[in-house]
Amino acid sequence: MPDDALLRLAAAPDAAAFAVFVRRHQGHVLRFARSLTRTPSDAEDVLQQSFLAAWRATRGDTDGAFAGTGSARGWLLTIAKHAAGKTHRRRARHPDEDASRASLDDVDHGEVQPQAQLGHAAGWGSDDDPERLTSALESKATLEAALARLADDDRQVLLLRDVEGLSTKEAAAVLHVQERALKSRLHRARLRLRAELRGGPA
Amino acid sequence: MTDDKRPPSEATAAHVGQHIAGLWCDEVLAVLSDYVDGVLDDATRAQVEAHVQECDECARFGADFAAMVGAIRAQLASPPTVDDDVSARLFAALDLDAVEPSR
Repeated sequence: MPDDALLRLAAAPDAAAFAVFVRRHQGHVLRFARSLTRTPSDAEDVLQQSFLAAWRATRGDTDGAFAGTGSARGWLLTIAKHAAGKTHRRRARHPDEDASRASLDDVDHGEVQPQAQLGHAAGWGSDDDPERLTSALESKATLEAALARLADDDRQVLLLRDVEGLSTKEAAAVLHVQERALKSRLHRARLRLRAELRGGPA
Repeated sequence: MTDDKRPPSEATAAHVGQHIAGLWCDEVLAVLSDYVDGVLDDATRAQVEAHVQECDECARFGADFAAMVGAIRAQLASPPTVDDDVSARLFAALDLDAVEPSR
């Protein structure tokens, strides 16, 4: 059953229908939650808060039920981003626990690294060994390791667009940026991933 | 191809680009994601395609870049498995059984 139909059923409320929805999406929400947090327990907290908020909204206890536009995945990941923001604010009251993550919620860091420089790092204008590159792309572990080495912002935009397959509009909504900014972030993130794959184990 | 003088910039200092089909190599680089995502306007797309016909560097890097984007989707589409205990705690937090359908 498609997500929108499942969520209409769940709105009854129908706990069994919502349970199917949770099982379908929990891995995707957890993966994104990991990119938004520093520790497994924070990621799990975001996972729980996301589905709790989605369930309340679906039942009509709160606003923000799935509107039927875009994908239910995009809706859920928007909720997850919001939940992660709450987790960070809670952590911020205990700064000792979380001193390292102050910049994550900055919408943009005003990156000025010239694109050509990113391009060179990614192998633009060099004569890389194509076989080595191809083998890197065939290894899920190599791709995952390269993604893991990226900065949070880069990893998030790649996850939303290239892994989860959200549209530019949906991904921009999740990250609270303009579509134009989203596209430029995505391009830089792809170039940085390319650079990581050149440097990583083949 | 020789009619255009590139204004001095960091980009040209760092790269020996070619001006082919109205685009410099670094201009092709700048629109590669839009090209791969299929969101370039027709005129620019045609320029990019004409450029890579003649520019081996851009053809190689562009193909490589497109292959990477395709590989991410292909390799990572299925999410990680959620551990049973994590999933169990999620369902416990949701407490779905507490909600009865309204009749």
